[in-house]
Amino acid sequence: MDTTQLLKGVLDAAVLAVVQHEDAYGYDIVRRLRDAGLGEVGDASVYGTLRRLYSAGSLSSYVVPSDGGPHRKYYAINPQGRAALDAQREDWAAFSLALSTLLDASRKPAALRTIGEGR
Amino acid sequence: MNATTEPRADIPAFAAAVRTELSDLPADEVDDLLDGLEADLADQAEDSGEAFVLPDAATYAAELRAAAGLPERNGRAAKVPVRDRLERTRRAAATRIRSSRFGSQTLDLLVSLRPVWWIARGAAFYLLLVFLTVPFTGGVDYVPTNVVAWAILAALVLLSIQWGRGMWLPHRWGRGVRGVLNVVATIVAAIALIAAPTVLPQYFSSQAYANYAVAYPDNSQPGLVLDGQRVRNIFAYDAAGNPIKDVQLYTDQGTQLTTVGSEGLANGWWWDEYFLGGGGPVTSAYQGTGRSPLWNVFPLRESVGVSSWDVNSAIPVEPKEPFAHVPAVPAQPDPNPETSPAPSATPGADATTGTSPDATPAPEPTPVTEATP
Repeated sequence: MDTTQLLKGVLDAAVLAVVQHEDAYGYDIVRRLRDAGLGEVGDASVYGTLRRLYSAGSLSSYVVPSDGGPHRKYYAINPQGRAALDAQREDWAAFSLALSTLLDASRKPAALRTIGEGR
Repeated sequence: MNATTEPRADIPAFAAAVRTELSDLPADEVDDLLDGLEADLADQAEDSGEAFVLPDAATYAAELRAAAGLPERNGRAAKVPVRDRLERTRRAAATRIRSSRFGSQTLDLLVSLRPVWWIARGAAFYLLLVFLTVPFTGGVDYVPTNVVAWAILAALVLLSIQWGRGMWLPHRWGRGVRGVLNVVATIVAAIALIAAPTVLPQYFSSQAYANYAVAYPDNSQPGLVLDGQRVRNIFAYDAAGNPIKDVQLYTDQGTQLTTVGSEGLANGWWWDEYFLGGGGPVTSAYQGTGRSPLWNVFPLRESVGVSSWDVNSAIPVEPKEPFAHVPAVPAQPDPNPETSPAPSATPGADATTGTSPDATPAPEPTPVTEATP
């Protein structure tokens, strides 16, 4: 399965999750995501997502000068970001439970409702 | 390690290239987006070591935009948003239509009719080809006129159906070509529909005329016609003006000259059915060899007042000639004096004319004797 496609929908939650306990700068966040097993995440996608979450007000940022090299831009989660992360955590739990149940090969197929049924 | 203290020289250049790719965005937006990019890349290069390869700046910028929810660059990337926008419009329209039961059922009906459109699209492809090849063919045949044209039409319909089923589209450009051809086919189909009321009657009338002409070469009046009047019988007189019997007539083409024509011959008439039941005399054929009707011997024998039901019992008799005697053929100037030992062959003819004994007004016997074998 193309996990980059799957990742697109949940990248916001993933990025918020890796900064919820500790602030981090761009590449640091990429590294944490990859260490967590999301190896296929593109760094430009992460930087773009960071920028969008910042614009949406879920993250705040600050610049830290580095000695000898270019300065680093750190991102920190804020209350709004935590609220967003909580909401996404619930959504994901419900979604993953539903899909896991659906994909469980040992389970006998039950009468599934058709999408749009009873409209 | 050197990499930390001496960042790779190509990273600032890469950052600048990415910035150029984003130049259509507001400057502060770009600053926000690229702030820290060089440090991030330097870290990444340090992590990856020798394996680090800078990505394509344009792709990188596009990925940044997409993830950041920023609009795509105008121009080069504009193609995709248009398609997405159309798709979004289409979905919105479908959702709106499906919001009512009637709309939903109508849409389902139309969707189930898609194969009809596929076939029509194939026909439209064919018409498009017909229109485009007018300079070579010199005309428009809406319906194929030969096997090759039928084969092309069949192939195009098959192609259209396969496209409809999502097959035979080798690459992404295949879908693009299909999209363009869809639009063109719709236009051609519309033109064909508009033209149909004028073209179809013309086509069918010309077709009917063609059939007509083949089956009845002269349907207006089959048989022997003089000034639009069907000829019933023919009476021959010799040069002296006396009636003669059993004259066999042939045309210059060597075909038998008959009053009933191909219609009577083809149907094996024994009676001239054109006049049958009309109240007047009805001519009947002589009996040729093998009991086949012989229609080129004149005068034909006639029966008066026969109808179709008593045709077998009627006994034809020799008709009364319109004139018992006609004026003799006047003497003609001899077209060929050297070969005129003929007078002896027709002494009777010369005896009445007299003025020019050398004249030979007797070409009549000659064609008869010539034609007999």
